[in-house]
Amino acid sequence: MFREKRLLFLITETPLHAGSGSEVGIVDLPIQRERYTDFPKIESSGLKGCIREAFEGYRIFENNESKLINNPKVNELLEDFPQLQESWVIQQDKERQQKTDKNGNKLIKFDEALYLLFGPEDEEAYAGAITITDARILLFPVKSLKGIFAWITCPMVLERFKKDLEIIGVESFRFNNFNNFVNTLPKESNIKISSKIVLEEFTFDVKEDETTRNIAEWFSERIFPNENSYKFWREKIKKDLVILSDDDFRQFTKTSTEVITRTKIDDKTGTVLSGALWTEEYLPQDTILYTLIMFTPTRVEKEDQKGVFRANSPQNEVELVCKFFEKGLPEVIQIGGNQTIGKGFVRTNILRKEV
Amino acid sequence: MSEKETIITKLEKGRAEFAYNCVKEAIKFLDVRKKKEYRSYIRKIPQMILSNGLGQTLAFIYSKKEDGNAYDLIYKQFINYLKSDSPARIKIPTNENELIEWVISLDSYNYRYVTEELLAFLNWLKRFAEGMIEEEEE
Repeated sequence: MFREKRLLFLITETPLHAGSGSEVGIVDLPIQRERYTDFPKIESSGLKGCIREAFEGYRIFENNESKLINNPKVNELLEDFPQLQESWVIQQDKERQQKTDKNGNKLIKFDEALYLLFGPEDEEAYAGAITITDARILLFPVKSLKGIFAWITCPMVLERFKKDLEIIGVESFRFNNFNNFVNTLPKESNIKISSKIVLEEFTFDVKEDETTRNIAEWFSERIFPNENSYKFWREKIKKDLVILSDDDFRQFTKTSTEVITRTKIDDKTGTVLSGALWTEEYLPQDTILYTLIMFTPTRVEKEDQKGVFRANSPQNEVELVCKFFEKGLPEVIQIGGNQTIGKGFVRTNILRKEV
Repeated sequence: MSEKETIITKLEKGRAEFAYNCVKEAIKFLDVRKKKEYRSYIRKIPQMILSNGLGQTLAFIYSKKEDGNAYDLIYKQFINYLKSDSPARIKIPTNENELIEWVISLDSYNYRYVTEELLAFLNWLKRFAEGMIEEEEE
């Protein structure tokens, strides 16, 4: 059914609040978590919406017409899909009509591509050609007495990650039996004090391990974009990754998230409005999550509805859909709440298929 | 049915009931002003534990408590709770009456269990305190 699959790393660059909306815990506005593990996650529906919105940011409406903006990513897309700027014309009762959205804006082929990829906006006529899973946690940053912070992970997370990589068809992650590596870290780590590390207020006895170093190396080569500006982070992850037990990991993801208190000030009195004091939970910046993205051929019946994805075989069609997504996906997207106060900036990085 | 089993079948091992009785106790023994203080401290403490850790928070409560004030009652209720049958994984020894002294002597694992235990307890306390004690009208 799915013919192209990708793994997308999400690196939070500012704190991220994917809210669950319920408030029976200690924090008024907690983040989304998996029901049975309590690990933080991002619901796929929210994620998909944010990615769609990011794509929609490539076009503006001028004089009731959809137009592509001038931007390097857009120019890349246009190289592969030159028709994107053309009008979107549909056959209706033997007449050719200009397609418009519900506000009467004339749409172009780029809009059609978004409808085909993510699903139509105005009707539920067909499904999109993309499938996005919930974002799962991979590495979580925790305050360290030495070396500022450590990235922690645990056997359960690594086992899942391995399974997910197999779904994608990536075979280079050749590590097993993660339970044997609890409380280990790479050689020459910056966070170690003799044979111990101190995370928040907890001390752990740790051992250096060759396999853990290789795991850290694997992450370092793939998680961050291959740019000079990420050199520091690539080096840090090589040294400051710690595998903790599942329980310890869960504990940190529950008690070491960012919790901030917010208030609303009364304009007249200059003091806090009665009742306007609440707490919000955030995933800290530098958290690393990942999501699986799968592509199918477009879900429309007629060839002439397939727009820029029209190809001579379903396989080629899928490749075009996948290429459109990969080329067009912005390097930074915004996910979750409080976007106007700069929360939820996430760096995206697609793991290329490896042999 | 033995005493033990009834505890387990109660909501969160009797934690909710225990918290309810603690708030009732606060209403009975504290005067109007202290009741309000009790309510606002109980609301504030979980947040403090999350941002500063249990040790720091208990030390803070310890430094603020004076005979008969709200912090004093909260501190005592923590001890009573940890001596009751509700905590699942850890209990304070029955002869130990100085919570802070015991907590700072624990190893990392047990320290974490106590933190979790008190947070779960506070979650109920907070709800009941909010529901049963009138808020300050400024």
